[in-house]
Amino acid sequence: MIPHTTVAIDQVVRKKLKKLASLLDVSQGEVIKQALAMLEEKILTGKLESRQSNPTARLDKKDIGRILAEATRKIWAINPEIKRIQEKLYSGPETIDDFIINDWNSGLE
Amino acid sequence: MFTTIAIDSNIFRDRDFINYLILYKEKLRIFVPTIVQMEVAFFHLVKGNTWDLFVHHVREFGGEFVGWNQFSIQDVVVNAYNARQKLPFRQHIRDFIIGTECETLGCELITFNVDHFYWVKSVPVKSPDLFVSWFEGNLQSPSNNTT
Repeated sequence: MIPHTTVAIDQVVRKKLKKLASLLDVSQGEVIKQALAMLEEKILTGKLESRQSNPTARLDKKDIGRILAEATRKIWAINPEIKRIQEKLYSGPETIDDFIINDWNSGLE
Repeated sequence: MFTTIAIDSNIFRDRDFINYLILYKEKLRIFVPTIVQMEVAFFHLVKGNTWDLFVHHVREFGGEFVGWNQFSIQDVVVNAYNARQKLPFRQHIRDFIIGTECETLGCELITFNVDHFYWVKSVPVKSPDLFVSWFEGNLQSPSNNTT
């Protein structure tokens, strides 16, 4: 006999589980199995970060902003030429987004 | 070396992130996809810079140019065809070229438009923030700290 275990889930999750099992015409256990397989694939292909492989992942937005601003401060201090190029590049109304091609107007569709 | 990445054109809107790449270029291998080269070079020319200055800018973070002969056009087209319902060809062919190049070279892609690359399966696609989180984690990990 295959050993089974019980897990506690709230009402919302229970309803979702029931609905998906019904839609897919499989058991609720099968839905969980498939969901776990999808999650596992995401982690294995790097689409989702594993806390185990990178325990300090998920810095908050503020920390990231601070780290990135610090990078600019350091680089500009080391190399004023980069500062000059970047100040020119990032001045004025045009941004890189103005030149990203998003409509090839190919007439193929 | 921690990882190999490619960067989308929209990454160049974030000067601080470019400087972060310059700061850690010794720990990264960074590819600049074909379309990205054209878009960013054009941006430089509009700003009054030269092609050589654009190349210099890319070399500052150790960027390597992907060649048109380094990936299969057939793969690009098949990817575009398979995802055509969600991402129409004429709005997203650049995304298919970039994503296919990343899959071919085996490098993760850093972009602000992660959703445009949902079809990329074999390599991670990350936002700059997620990449920085991950990278900082590696910098702080004793087993990976080479500095």
